[in-house]
Amino acid sequence: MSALPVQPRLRAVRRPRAGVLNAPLLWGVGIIVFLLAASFLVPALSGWGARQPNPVASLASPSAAHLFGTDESGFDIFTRVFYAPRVDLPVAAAGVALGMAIGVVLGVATGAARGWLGEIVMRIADIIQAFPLFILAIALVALSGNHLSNIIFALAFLNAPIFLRLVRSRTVSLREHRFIEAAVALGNSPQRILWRHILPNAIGPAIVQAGISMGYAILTVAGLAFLGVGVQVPTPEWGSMILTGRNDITTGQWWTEIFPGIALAIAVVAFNLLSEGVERARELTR
Amino acid sequence: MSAPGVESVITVEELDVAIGRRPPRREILRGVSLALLEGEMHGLVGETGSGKSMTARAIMGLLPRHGVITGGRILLRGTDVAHYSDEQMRAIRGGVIGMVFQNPRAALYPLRSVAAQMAAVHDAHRRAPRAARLTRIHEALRLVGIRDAERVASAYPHQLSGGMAQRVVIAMALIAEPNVLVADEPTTGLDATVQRQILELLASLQQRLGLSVLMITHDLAIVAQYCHTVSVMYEGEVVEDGAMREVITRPRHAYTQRLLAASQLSDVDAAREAAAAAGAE
Repeated sequence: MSALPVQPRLRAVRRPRAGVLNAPLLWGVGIIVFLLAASFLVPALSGWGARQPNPVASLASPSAAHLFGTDESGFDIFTRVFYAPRVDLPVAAAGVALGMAIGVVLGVATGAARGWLGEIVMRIADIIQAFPLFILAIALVALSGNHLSNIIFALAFLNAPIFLRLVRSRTVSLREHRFIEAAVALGNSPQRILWRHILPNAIGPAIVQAGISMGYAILTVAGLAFLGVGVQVPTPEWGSMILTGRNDITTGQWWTEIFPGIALAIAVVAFNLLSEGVERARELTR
Repeated sequence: MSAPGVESVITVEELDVAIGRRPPRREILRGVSLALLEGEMHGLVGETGSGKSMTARAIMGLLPRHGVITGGRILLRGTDVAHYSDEQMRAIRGGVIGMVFQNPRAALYPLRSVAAQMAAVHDAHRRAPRAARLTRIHEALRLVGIRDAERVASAYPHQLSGGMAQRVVIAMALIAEPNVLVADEPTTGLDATVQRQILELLASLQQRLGLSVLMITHDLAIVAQYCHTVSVMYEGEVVEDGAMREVITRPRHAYTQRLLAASQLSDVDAAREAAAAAGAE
């Protein structure tokens, strides 16, 4: 019999450092940091106020003075496009964070405890998810009043079932793992097992989902503003800027629409890249 | 069946266990009786599905969902714990009865260091300042034959080999100083040489610490070599029990005979000789 080739040992020795910082992760983080930094630097340095109308220079095309041109009120679009993350990102982040907190806690709780209470929570999640997200968001904000805080609550309400489902399914499968059984058999308390053993194991996919949800949340905030719900017109915000410029594009003033649209797309892509990057890093360290 | 003067640590009497949400439930253990005597190693042998693991789970109060004890008693030093609440059992699990599992690496929590996991089990049963607790953890690791205890204590489960992981699992089971150990297939999933080391370790711990050990296995050769007494289970019943020597030299039940025939004979022969020598003394 011929000699068998020596098999390399496949035991992970240390967490691999190289490769954890992958391209999507770096691009995602890079773009997000850039957008946040620019939202403070650009308005400070551009010489134009984000909320400063200039009726004399209405609908000026892009030039050295106004890099992205101006809109019908003479607002400098360059300044406003870069200012907008200050409005969009915190609202989206607060909504996703609140939804994630609710979803994760309910997910672990309903996953660990079997019973009718968990079933009721799941059926409520079904009901929420049966509605088209965006229409539900409009209805929620329209019914509860046109405040920024209500947009946050609406985003949380829409996101909670997503995280709930994700964490619950992880919890249900983890519950049957031998290391959970072993922890029980050596006298660890149920609370300890839930929060120290199950939660840290179940939270990974939720963190990846948070990136995806951020992208959707930014789209939702902008979409609501475009429909006149939520953020109102003088506030520099991508959706409301597109709303302001919606008639100009037919008369040739493309810049009022295109620049906020590109910025919005870049922000959404950045969070998707971040999410992808986190997922890849997680696979490496698993 | 207990010899006079030797106290029984765990006595299972006519235990019936059934599974099902409501009657009629499916019976999985029927009239199981066994006794683990102070300072002895008792083997519980049987094939997969014979009910040996279920018996251990019943003793630990860890029956699966919809599993219920429908009859009999489980005496822990004379106290019936068969119908203890989860709350009451928690002090016993790990504190009075330590448990060792098959597939040690699956039994360790992947995201926390060995020391952190052992500390959690320690804190569930004992109070001690941090430094004293860490000393105890290192002691427990040395007790199971780990020389560089400091390094292993700060390691994560994926960094341990199978044998090392099983030593850690045993150390963790012993951290709260229980005097009974339930070992459920402790050598399954380990290399043959490592299996032997782990069995030798359990036998030596049993001697040194005066532990009473319930050894659950499908391998009669293991039991023949290390256990003082044995119960053979088949389809949810104990079909034969008694002193090791008796059972392997004069098996009465047909299943035990088949089990003996299926074991690695050299091991059993060696054990027989050892038993005969011990009997001649």
